[in-house]
Amino acid sequence: MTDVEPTIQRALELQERICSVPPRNLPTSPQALFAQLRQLLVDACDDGLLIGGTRQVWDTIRLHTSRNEFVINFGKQAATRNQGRTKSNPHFERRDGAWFDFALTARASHKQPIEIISYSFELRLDTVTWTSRPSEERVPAYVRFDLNPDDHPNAIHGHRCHVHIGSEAFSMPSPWLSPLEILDLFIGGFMPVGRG
Amino acid sequence: MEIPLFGAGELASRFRSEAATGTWICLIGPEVRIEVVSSEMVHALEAIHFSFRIIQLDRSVKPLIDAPTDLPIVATGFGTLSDEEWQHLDQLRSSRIIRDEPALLIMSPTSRHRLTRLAPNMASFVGGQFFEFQEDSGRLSEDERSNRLAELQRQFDMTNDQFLAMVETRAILDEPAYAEWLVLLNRGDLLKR
Repeated sequence: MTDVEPTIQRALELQERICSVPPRNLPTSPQALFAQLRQLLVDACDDGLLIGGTRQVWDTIRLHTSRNEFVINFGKQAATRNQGRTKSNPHFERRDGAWFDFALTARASHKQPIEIISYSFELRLDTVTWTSRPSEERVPAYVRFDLNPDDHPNAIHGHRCHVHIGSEAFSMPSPWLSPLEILDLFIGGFMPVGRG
Repeated sequence: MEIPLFGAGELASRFRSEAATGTWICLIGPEVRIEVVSSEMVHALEAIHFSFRIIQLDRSVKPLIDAPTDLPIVATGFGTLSDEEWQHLDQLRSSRIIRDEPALLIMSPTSRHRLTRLAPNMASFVGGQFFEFQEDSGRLSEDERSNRLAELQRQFDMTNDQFLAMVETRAILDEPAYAEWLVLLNRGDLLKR
């Protein structure tokens, strides 16, 4: 146990450092964040980066508000993560076949910027082939950014904010990203440079 | 002709996509909630950082006639107009109706009827760009909320009450969805601050 404590201590210090820099420029109301998320996805559809048309944006993303907290999710999606990673659940799809969904929980005071409590954004790359890259460079099956509530067991061990790359068993600390920043990465990133 | 239903977010997005066009769009909202509809539209446009000018009419269409044509405008207050003012509005088409930026007119069904009757040329110019305001667009419906809660209870093999009892004893479910579950139960207060 004495060998473990310094490791956890360092992980907690790292977590504190990460969580001391929350995303900037978040709006003050749930409706505004909801509008910005949907507009980002609509723009991506209009620009041809996502397939399926803008209608799916208006039909898919949902907002639930409750006192000071709110949820943004995919209303018709299975309640928890799409653990079977089945495309029959609502999702957005990139031109190269990569696809994603997400859910987030946050708190709004309407005076201060929104406080993100938790999120889970997962991009699936299982059907993507990047033929412009050397064959030894394997595309991970998925990338998932998780932010857990700060009383979550992961947070107690310094893993409140992390990213999974291709495996539930493999994760690493992640910056605390805004939902819009993650969608920027999902839509325009995680592909070979220059490939739009 | 059936008027399409649009929520504030979707119509704001539609209006923004008309930037640099002189399109006139008419949004019809319930008479008793027309101020709420206007407020929601303003907030939805501000949320997506679309700049516009609000034109508040008060018994006169002059502010609309004088409105800059090179800025998007959102006009409200049509319920205050007399028949004569509506007829005056109809004369707008010859001089100020050609715009460089879009115009959004927010009005009640009664005002829309008067637009058609007293300002037919203007109504004709708006053409097919009539939309009816949809309340709570994008909101998680009660059915959707119930379905998600049912799925959570199935997946974790516990009832909502058992889950709440567990959280209240600070035994946190080791699953990212637990914050969402609490908020869907309207118990976000149990999340640590």
